[in-house]
Amino acid sequence: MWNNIGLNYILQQLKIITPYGKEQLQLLKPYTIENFPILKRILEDLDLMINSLSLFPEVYEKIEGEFLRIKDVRGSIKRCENLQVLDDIEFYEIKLFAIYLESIRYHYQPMGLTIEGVNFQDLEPVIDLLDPEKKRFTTFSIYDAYSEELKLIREKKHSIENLIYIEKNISEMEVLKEQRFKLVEEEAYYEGKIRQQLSQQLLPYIERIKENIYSIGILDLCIGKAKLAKEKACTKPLFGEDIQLEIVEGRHPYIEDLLQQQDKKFTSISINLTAGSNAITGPNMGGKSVTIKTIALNALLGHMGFYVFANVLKLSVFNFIHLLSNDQESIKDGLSTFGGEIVKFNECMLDIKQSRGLVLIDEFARGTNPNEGRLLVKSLMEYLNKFDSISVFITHFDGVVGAGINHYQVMGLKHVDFNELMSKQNHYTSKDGLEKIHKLMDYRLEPVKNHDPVPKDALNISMLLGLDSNIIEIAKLHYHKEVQFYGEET
Amino acid sequence: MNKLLEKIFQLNSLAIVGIEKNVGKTTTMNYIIEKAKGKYSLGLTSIGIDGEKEDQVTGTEKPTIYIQKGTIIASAKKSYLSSDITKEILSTTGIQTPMGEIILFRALSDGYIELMGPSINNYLKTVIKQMKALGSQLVIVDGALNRRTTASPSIAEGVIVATGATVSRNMEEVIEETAHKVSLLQIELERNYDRLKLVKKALKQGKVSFLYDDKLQISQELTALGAENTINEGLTSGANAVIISGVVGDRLVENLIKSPIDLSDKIIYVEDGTKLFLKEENLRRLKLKGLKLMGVNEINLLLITVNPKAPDGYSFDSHRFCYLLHEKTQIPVFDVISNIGVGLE
Repeated sequence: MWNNIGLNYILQQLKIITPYGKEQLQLLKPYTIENFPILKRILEDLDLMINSLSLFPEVYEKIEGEFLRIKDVRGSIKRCENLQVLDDIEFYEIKLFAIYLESIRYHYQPMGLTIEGVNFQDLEPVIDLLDPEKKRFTTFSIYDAYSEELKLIREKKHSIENLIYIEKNISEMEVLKEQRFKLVEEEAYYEGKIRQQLSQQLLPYIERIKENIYSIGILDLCIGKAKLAKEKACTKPLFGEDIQLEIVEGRHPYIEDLLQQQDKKFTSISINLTAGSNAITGPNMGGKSVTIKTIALNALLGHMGFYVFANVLKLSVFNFIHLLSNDQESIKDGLSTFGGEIVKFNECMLDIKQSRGLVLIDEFARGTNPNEGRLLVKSLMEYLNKFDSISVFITHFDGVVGAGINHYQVMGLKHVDFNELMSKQNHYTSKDGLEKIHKLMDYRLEPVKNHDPVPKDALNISMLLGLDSNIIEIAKLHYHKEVQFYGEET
Repeated sequence: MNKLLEKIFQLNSLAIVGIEKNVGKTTTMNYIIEKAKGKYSLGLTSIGIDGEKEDQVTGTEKPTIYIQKGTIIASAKKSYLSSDITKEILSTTGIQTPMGEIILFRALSDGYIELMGPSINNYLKTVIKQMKALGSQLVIVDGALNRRTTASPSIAEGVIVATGATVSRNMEEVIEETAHKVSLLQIELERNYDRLKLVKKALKQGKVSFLYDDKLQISQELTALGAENTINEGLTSGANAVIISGVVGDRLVENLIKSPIDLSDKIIYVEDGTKLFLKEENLRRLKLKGLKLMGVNEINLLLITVNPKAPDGYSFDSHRFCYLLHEKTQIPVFDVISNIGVGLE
């Protein structure tokens, strides 16, 4: 579902630098009513970070520079924990990790931020361990300083090597090389012992290193989220006690970007949803699906600790967010589209009975006959109206929204003068028609007062898209008959 | 030789390639290393082999050389661990090979090392750059004239070719073979800027491409091997040139020679002469048919080194060997064992 509503698009735009930050990104999940205090804290920390980014941009540039150098040492840390002996390359990488960490700590701490999970620990002792000569170079070797015996062996070896260099006699050289080889073996022996020692001496610092790894991950993710929020003018989601979802000028970033590429503008939506059933009706191509995806995406982002793409998002905490739409593959499971819908709905119903959540249902029963469809949708809406969960129904069925159900509709084409439009041009090509519809369509939502007739735009849209005029004429006749028959909303 | 050596040590990078396996390339390497001691700081790496780990383990010579303290090496983790020098890690590269990540390290003592470098041109370039940045005055790249590498010695500013008595018991044959390989390395370079741009583009984007005057057509062929029909069709339909990324072998060329296609004034472009694996006879027949072989990357062949002794025990007269080889190739020739040189000025 989450990919369906465009979550991945957002996550991909986050600039997460370190392997540890990337891991934290993978672990992201929406919070629930039970662990709301954690979510609250995360959003507060995000607020602090956004502020801090504005105050100290140069510091963050430096931190990011260090982030770029951070490599994944978790494998070596694990090996060390398992009492294995590390090799030179692992010592080298741990040494560099400690050096870069100290630099990050040095830049980060003066800012006085208290972000949950970011607790850098002093790794100077680790650097000292791997830098006995205290040179602070970003290199590593099994240094002479580790052992007197090692130093002596190496000096002996060096003298032999000098002799080898000037020796011209081949058999003499072979003798010298033999001697050298013995010293090579001794050197390897002492180096091995030192590696063992160092691996053991690192053990007491493993917890600190892991703490720092975790801190880097959280900080990296937090900075990424804060930068995204600033760049895209996102706002803090406001979680409250009342059961509601109010969104003002909500946007769907993926669709917004797509439209921008085509030089079109995204119409942001504003809506106020209440506990129980809510309905959104409106013409075909009225953007209703985009509307519920926008609601779902922003609600989900809020629950995952992100800032949201809206001027205001006021909401209660939901234990679940479900989007039922026909983009799903029920056919694969041997069910008809309708069958799939029922199965999915049953799953939602289980959650709705147990706790409070958000359910968005797109054109339920669209694939079955309209008479039964209408009745089913009406029944669903009536029943779900009894629960705390917020249910949002998109439907094009007539007369299904019962009294007392929160009802919005897409303004659509109601302000368009079709007669004028059609008289201006004899017929449109499908492509022109689509463009025209998009230009004329008002995607904004408005509350519906009881007994407003559901707008009948299908015929108009068909005309705009160039449906054969003969068919249009026949349809008009039938329309007049039917309208007389149905008259009002039942 | 000293003048030539001076010239060599002014270069940024030098590739040493052997005509074939066990020809004495390592001896040449050791010679250069010795001449540098105390005067020039060296960086060392090798052109690795593409392909599976087994190939890497069994398929090729991984030179074991005796190096001096202070040398910087770019080689795979396996070779770091197996070397017997006292060493210091300078940096890791993130370049993965079947033998492990390529590590840059410095020798803190003399000793033995096996070179296992990257097998891809871009990685090789990166690694050479890094060694220069770490202070190496001359980076020596150990290479081979071998089908199994994508990377090429043309990446280095200068190239030395090593040959020797192991090629054949018959000195004339060694000279013929060496001269032939040298002439392959020295194919004409495309100098026309616009043409060169097109050819380079083709080499990047496809394995087999065609030039119709100044229009480029890149075929879908995944390898030149087996693309004979496509190549024939291309040439028949009026292409002036075929551009082949990768190896051009005898089979491809024999196919062209046998076909009724008019090859006069047609060109086959390759990256450089190290991609040509052709018998002398086929080279001659191509020439007779009027077809030109041209390259894009320059191979600056500075010197041919010879080892006149074979491990089997026989050896050639060094003076004669060097003289005849120089006469045939017009390249300076030098015997690294007996210090005899011809044409060195």
